[in-house]
Amino acid sequence: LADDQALWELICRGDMPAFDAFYRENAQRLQAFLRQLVGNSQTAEDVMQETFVQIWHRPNGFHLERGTLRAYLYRIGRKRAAEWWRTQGTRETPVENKPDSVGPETTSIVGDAFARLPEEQRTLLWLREVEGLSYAELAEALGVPLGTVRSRLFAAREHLRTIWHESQQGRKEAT
Amino acid sequence: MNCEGVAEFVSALFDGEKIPREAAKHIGVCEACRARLKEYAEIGVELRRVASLESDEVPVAGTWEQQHSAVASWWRRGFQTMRVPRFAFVFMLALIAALGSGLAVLKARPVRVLMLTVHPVNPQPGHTVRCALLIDDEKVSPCGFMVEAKSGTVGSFIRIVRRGGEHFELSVRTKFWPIPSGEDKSYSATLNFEDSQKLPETMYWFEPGQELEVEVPGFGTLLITGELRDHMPAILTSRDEQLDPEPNEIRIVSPVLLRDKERILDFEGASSASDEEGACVVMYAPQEGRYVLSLVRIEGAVEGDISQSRAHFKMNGKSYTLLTGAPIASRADRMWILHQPNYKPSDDMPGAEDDRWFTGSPKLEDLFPNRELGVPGARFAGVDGFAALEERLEPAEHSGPASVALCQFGVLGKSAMANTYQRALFSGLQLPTDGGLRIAGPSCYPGTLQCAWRINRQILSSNHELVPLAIEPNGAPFAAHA
Repeated sequence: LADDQALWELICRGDMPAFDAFYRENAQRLQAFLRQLVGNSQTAEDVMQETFVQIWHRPNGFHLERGTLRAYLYRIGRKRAAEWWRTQGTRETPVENKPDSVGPETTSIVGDAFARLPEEQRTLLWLREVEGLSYAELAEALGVPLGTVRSRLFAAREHLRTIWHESQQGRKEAT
Repeated sequence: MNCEGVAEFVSALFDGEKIPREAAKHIGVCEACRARLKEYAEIGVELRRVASLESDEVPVAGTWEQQHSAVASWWRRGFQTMRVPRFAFVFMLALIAALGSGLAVLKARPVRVLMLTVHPVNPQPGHTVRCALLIDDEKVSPCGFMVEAKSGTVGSFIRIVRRGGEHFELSVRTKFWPIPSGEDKSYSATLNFEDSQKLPETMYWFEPGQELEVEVPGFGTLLITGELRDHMPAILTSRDEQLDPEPNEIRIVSPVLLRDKERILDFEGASSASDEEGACVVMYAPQEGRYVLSLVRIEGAVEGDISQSRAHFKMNGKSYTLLTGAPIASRADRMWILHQPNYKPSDDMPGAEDDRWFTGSPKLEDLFPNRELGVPGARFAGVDGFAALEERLEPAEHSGPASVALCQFGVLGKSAMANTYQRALFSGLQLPTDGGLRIAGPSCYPGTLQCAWRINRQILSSNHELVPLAIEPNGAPFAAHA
């Protein structure tokens, strides 16, 4: 956390090397997260870039007492993704959440089920399972009270389990 | 505790959180809950596996500095991969930009104008002035004007107080300066915005298309008519607002005078025009003195060429270019320019301020009664007419093209006039609240008013310090300052 504070102060002072290091450490992971939200790699890259541009040009809104810099980064990224969706006119657009190169080894029932979750549940599960954010960081990233993170994570997992089981059942019936 | 009751704690346990003792006990012995825990683990593992399939290539460091938006990136990619000729695409973009910018200008600068026309009607009809009120610009609310009548001068400030549909509540403040009854007919009138606020205010509801009668204490009645417009007239000095000057008209609209490449006069927003025989326009600035421009020859003047809204001439080995916002003349390709570097307004009008610039349109014979002029039959003893001179400051920052004013009037019944003061004239001006004189919009009706006084219109400082109107019977034919 002390490192976060020091890094943030450098970023606020416009320290290019510090920000560059921050970017290198987080860009790829943020982009992977955003791809789960926007549905394709190119847009995810654009939104990721916009996220860093925003932080670089307008470094504000981060408070160490509320969470880590990484949680803050994902919160900004999620907001940018939401803005991108708004520009698309609707959030009902189906998400093509498959990797760009689709093959047997890159697909899974869990992955398909995950893609069918609501955005907030996808965000929660991804940040928890893949990025390993703590409950406090999740609360910061999603802008929700800490006490609700556990229940929402549970709801997301149960939702995913349900879809997963239904998919498995459907495959069995199909065969 | 049953499975349903501890399900959320299974999720929390999986996340490494501490859970209640009872929940932990249940999970320890419940196969279903342990199966759920296992599935949660499978989900986590599978998600991390999927994440591992994502490209691990870190985007080029620093590219975020040049990135602006996803939309921009799409354009870039689209441009790189397009199958139509790129020059055609660029042309299309340029066309769209041009059209778009035009629309943007229209959108950004909406101008709705309540154009008022003010006529003194009682006790005697007088000349007409026009007054433009911008409806959508709160910063520019009042218009001020002075209008000559036979019995004196009426000054007024009008502003829109509020609007209800197509009805406007107008605040009208007026003041009347009567012509002195004694032998000395000279008098002066000064009205600025701040002083006008001390005058009695009368409120009127006004609807465009209707007539409004405004009672002016000591004078009589002003009749106000008006209409809504979607633009500010380009040339308010002309009632018909024609871009082409009248056959004998000389007109300078927002003139700039260049000497070689130096800008020596810039009367942005000010205009003068006259189509009277023997008319001219003048420009005065303290550092330059007076320039008299005429379509007829003036003794001692240099000849210049007119080309649309430009004129070129040489004087004392230097090249001059006059740039204006509208054609200078319609049927003349030459003009005469007399420069009087030592001229001071106070020479003509005692007490006039010499440190303010002005433009105006006097008559040549009034300016130069003893010079030879190229007007057939001119015997300029100063009895044929009079020039009202008007000056103004820069227009406000809004879009109104600022034409101003100077009108000149012929005289009714010349032969009946006994002296040089029997001259018809009128003038008008308008002041925005933010300081600059925006529009002076008199309409000229040559010969409709006989006014036995010579008027020196002197207007005004950018902070409304002064809007003077001076009328003197015995001075030189013409003088003005601001």
